[in-house]
Amino acid sequence: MLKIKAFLFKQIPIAPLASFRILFGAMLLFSTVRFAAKGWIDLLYIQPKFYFPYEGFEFIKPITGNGMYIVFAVMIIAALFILLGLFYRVSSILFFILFTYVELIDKTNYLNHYYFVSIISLMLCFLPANKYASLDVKFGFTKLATHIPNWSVLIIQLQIAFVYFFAGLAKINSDWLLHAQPLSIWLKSRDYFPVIGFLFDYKITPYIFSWFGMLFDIFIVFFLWNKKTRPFAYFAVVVFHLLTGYLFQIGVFPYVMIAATWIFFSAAFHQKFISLFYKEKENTIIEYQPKFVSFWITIIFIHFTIQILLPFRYLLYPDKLFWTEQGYRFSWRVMLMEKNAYASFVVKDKNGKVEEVRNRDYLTAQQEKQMSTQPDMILQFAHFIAKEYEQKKNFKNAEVYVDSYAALNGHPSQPFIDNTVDLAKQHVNFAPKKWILPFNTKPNRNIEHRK
Amino acid sequence: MKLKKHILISVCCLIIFACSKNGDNGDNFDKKGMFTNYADNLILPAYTTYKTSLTTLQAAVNNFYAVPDLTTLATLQNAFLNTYATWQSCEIYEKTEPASDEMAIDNNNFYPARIDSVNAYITRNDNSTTFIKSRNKNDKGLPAIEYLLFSRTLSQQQILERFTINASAASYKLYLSSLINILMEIQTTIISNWNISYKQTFINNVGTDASSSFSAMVNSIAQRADDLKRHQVAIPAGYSGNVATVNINPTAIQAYYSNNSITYMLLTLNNMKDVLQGKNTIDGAGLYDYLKTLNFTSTFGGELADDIIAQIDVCMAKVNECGSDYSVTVNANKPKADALFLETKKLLVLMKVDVPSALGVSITYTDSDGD
Repeated sequence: MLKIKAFLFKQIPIAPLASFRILFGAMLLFSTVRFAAKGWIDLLYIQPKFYFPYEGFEFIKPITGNGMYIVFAVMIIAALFILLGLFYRVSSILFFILFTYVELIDKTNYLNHYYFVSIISLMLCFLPANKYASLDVKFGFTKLATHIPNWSVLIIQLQIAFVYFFAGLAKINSDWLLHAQPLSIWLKSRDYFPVIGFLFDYKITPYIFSWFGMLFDIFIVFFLWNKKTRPFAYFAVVVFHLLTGYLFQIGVFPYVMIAATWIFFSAAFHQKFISLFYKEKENTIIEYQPKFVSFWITIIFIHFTIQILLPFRYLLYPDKLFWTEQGYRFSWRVMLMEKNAYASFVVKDKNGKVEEVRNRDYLTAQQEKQMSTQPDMILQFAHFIAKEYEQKKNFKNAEVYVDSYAALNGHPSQPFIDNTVDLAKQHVNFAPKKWILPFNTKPNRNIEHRK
Repeated sequence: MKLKKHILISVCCLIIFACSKNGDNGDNFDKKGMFTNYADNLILPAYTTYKTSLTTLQAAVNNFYAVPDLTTLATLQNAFLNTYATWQSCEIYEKTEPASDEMAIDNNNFYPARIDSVNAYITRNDNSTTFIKSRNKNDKGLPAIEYLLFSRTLSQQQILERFTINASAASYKLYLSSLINILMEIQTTIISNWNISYKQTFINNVGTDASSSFSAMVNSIAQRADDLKRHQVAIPAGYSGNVATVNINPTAIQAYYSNNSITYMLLTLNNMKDVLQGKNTIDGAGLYDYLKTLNFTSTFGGELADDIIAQIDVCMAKVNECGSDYSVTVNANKPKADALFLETKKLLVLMKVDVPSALGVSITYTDSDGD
């Protein structure tokens, strides 16, 4: 116990944290600018007529008019300031709040790496990452520190470890390991890629990728922690993420992870990196001791306990997780599903009026796609439809039914939601959704034939 | 010695490489060849045929205006029917860029035409091409032309009189010409965009992301199946969903005034089959052939590619049971319309869920990130 305490509280050089702040800040800046440049602010936060809120966060709405542009402009400036270490405390808090606010607006846009960015930027709010190699120090806004308690770096490493480890754990399922799905479908469709494309015509290739991916995710952090294997491990991280980035449409995710795993390098390494552009004249050791340590440690302990429990909450629900997606989010499940669905809503009123809803009248293409594959969003949309038809189309006591089919990971498509259940009467909550039809695990014929 | 070793290793590698590739099915499918076939054998010929029919239609209009009588009217009507029929083979490419850029369906075939506003334009003096072009999709395109040239109640003589002795005859004529001019203009743009640059992009973009040609074709066909189900079958029958009770809307059928709804449903389905199979003057490669190499199970449990073709045949059989006038079917023989609706829905599920799943194709156009 004492040993652990000594390990957690020993003073280590601040260089890794400062260097992480710079690289991660650059990443935040790049991805936020990229997001804006792609026109996604308009597409995702202005155009939609309806947003899918997270349960309990229904009050979170986009700002109308040019509001969302202002939000992103502030985020971009905050990211730049994090990078520079200028007005760091305010910038990091602003960035965390605005980024998380934007993510909470619409479930449609949920991505694990956004969740990751939210968590890390929250951690940055409380870490003394601006006490070295920063403009705050240069301008005297904060006191220089050369050493910090070990745990301030460890928590970031641990968070990254969780991401990889749980991503690996999630790959231990029959679709991924036994049928190499969805990689079989995805790689096959990329057999035209130069140089490596021909490999994807072999049936063994997706199996190799699947197993390697699983082992990589589970073990990579141990190799990153180990000083001897670290250079090879980081090289593997770079190759792995660049390859997946090249093969799949996953945006900045690979670069975020390449930037984040940077923190596993030694203090000496980070010191060298920083000295490329920053020379600290002070050469005495200045230790930084945060206040309320036991409070922070308790908070951190609670955070990681939640982090361990969240990915397992799916065990509380019946049937296949990928099918029902109850307990799917916030669990580091990445690249696990090829899922397509069709959902056609029918509204009835007590006077016998019936109408089939045209989803695209209310949803963007991306929203419709996400909604039709995820039961919780189907339910939210059904409630919205009921209200809309009652208010604007004069339906009395609108009942909403959905006719839907979904196909998952190469399994043939099958009925998804019970079309005899009036969704308008089902409550939005975390209880098991009994109106999701059971998943039939019938494999695809091309798998049967392979044996 | 060293050289020998190198040669030995190289030979071994070659053998291993050659052997393991054999006996594997599905590879070597020429995707670019398939998209070339789509461009040269199906899409461009359909577009060109439609454009030619528009040219003929324009000529028939001019002849009719020069000598307005029952004979030239009949020639004009026939030219129009031919145009509307050839359009049926173009509507299935809506999600290819040149068509979606021009909003081809909205501009060509948004039905039913909105009669009150169409009537208002008839009595209006200025029906110039520029004016009509700026109007709503409900007031232009083939359905509006059809409304001007056909009627379920008027005699041929009375239709002729619209363009001769009617107080608004001049306006009728200008409106009709404007409508055709607009279609001609759009079709010319679409074809030239294909020829200038899109064709090469289309042929070479063999990926499966949102901007790929797989996505364009799969989404186009799925969209067509969706429109067939919704606009051609469901809306006139007053559905919605499984339950059909109220609000039947017989005049909402496609080609109501010339009574060709059933014919066009059959054309649509037949064309969809050809497009899937890559078949026109040449029986080339299509999505059907590619799906075959993937050997996927459909929602029905059979092989996906064959199940789609079979389902199209089932839909055609159901169309044939609907009689010759779908506006009568939805009134007098509702169960036939119901049966057709259910089958078109199954076709839609195959196209919208099973096919994208087998191909890993993105069903949206948003170029968003996944993770």
